[in-house]
Amino acid sequence: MFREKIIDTVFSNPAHSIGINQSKCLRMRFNKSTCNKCRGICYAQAVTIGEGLSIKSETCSGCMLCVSSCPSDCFTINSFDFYSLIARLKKIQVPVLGCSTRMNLDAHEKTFCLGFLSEEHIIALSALAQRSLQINLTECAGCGNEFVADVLKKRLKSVETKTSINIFERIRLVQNRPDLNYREISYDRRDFFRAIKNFTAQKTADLFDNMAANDNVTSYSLKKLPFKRDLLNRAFSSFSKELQEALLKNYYYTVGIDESCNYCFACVGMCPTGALKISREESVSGLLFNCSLCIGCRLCENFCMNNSIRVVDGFCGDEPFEFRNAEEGVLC
Amino acid sequence: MPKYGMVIDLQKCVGCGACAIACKTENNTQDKTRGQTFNWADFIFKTDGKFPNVKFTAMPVLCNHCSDAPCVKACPVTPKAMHKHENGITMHNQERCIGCRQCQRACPYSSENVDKTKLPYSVISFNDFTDEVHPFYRDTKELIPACTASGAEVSKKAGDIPPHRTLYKHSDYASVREKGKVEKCIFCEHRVLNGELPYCVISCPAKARTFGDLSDPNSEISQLLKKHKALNLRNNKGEFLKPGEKGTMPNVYYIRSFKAPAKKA
Repeated sequence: MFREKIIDTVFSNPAHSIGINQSKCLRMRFNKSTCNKCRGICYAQAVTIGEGLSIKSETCSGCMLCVSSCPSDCFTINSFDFYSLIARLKKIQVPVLGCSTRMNLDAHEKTFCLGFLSEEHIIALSALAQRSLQINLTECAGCGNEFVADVLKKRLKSVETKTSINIFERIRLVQNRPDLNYREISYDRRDFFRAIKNFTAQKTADLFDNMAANDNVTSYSLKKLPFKRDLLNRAFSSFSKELQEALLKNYYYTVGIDESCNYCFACVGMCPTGALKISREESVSGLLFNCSLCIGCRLCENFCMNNSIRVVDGFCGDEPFEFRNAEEGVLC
Repeated sequence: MPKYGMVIDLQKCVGCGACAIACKTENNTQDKTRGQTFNWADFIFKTDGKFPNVKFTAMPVLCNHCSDAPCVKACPVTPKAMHKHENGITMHNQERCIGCRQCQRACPYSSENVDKTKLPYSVISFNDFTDEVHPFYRDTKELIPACTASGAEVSKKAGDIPPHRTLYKHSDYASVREKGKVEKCIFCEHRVLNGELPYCVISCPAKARTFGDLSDPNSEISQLLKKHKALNLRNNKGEFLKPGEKGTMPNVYYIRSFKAPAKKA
């Protein structure tokens, strides 16, 4: 039975379906939340939020914009590993990234529609070993998801203004065929078999990952850092000091409490990522906050009955990866 | 669909506390810690009046499974972790609970910290985020050094924490709750669904508790409510609702209070 499962997985067309983890949705955690990011960005109006969160598969065009816009990772793309994609792109001299919507598109790596690239993804891609990455958007015109090209442009622009990296040099959005610099990689016989070996190994790994993922119960109390933030955190140390500061200012948040806090710790339960923690140790008793785990969803702020919590954009303290006392308040 | 409720006969109750102990073994609740009682079935003693006109009452207290439950209204998640079942039981779902304790604050019969507020009981208890549940059975310290076993040793030998764990299966509830979540009386729904009575009811030696279907006029509980004037609790100080006061429409009734006059038959 297991053998059939493996064969099935390897030869089946990898339909990258969107998995929904309802317990992470801000609206599901807090019924007064007004988060509307996925619904607001969906061009096909396929996202519905009511008693639950769902995507109408008949109307969904698969642009993946909801996936990239969700602050808390309700949507996950099944059997897709962005880290291994980066690793593969790194090995290529002049890398080109494209989508698999058109068969004959020139690209070294093809994914589903590129709407899944959030600003965090773009920043991580820009750190690709000093080589500029081309994103092949030549076939976007005429595709049902052509708006994605504009969204990507806007996101790059936003990254540029926030971090002052010259992102358009690092990542080139290629819309006209003649501008594309695509060099096909030719495989000799050894490379061919190596590629087959790697492909099989990867598929098997995916299979095991998926089997493990299916066992996961989506408990509301399970704290999990969204992929976007995890990506940024992991890439953080490889950036220059100035860029780190710019990132902290524009992509990170600070939570502080004032003296009206009665330490009921309702916010600790509400926080979807575990950025808030209780400490009962003598030296640092009270509410602790970890900037690197905060996604700025503001559920704690909205939920607090005493209005004691403040969430502000940016982080100016030292050690964003450490828990520190939230009473220190907001430094920026 | 039945609508479950409970009647407690205060003239039969002797205050032995068997219900509380029975509940603790059946539902594997932990010991009192950090102002949380974990006594889903609890009991209080009330002394009223001045000598020689004094009144002493032993009163069992538990979740009232209110028809108009404020804990359900307060629950912020969707679908609600604290919710009503069709059979009238106020049910708490472990999977969806985020541990914000809004239910505990909203419930008139609960308190966030029984020690601090000096209130006698709380029907909703919270398993703290930082502590493991059942610390006693995880503690490796021997009660009398080099003489008795430690809690950890007993639970290791018994193969479970707590050692006396009742392994029941329920779609909303684990037999031992996780940390960072609230817990409360569920009218032993795991037993009720199998046609058994809640454990506190069958373990009462005085037969002071009657559990049954309030919507069936022929059930024992409906007959008792017809026969006697019933009172509902108002809060966790052991005060009763005044006549005409609706409160949260509790479904646990107290009959034959020593003060309340019995209805004429």
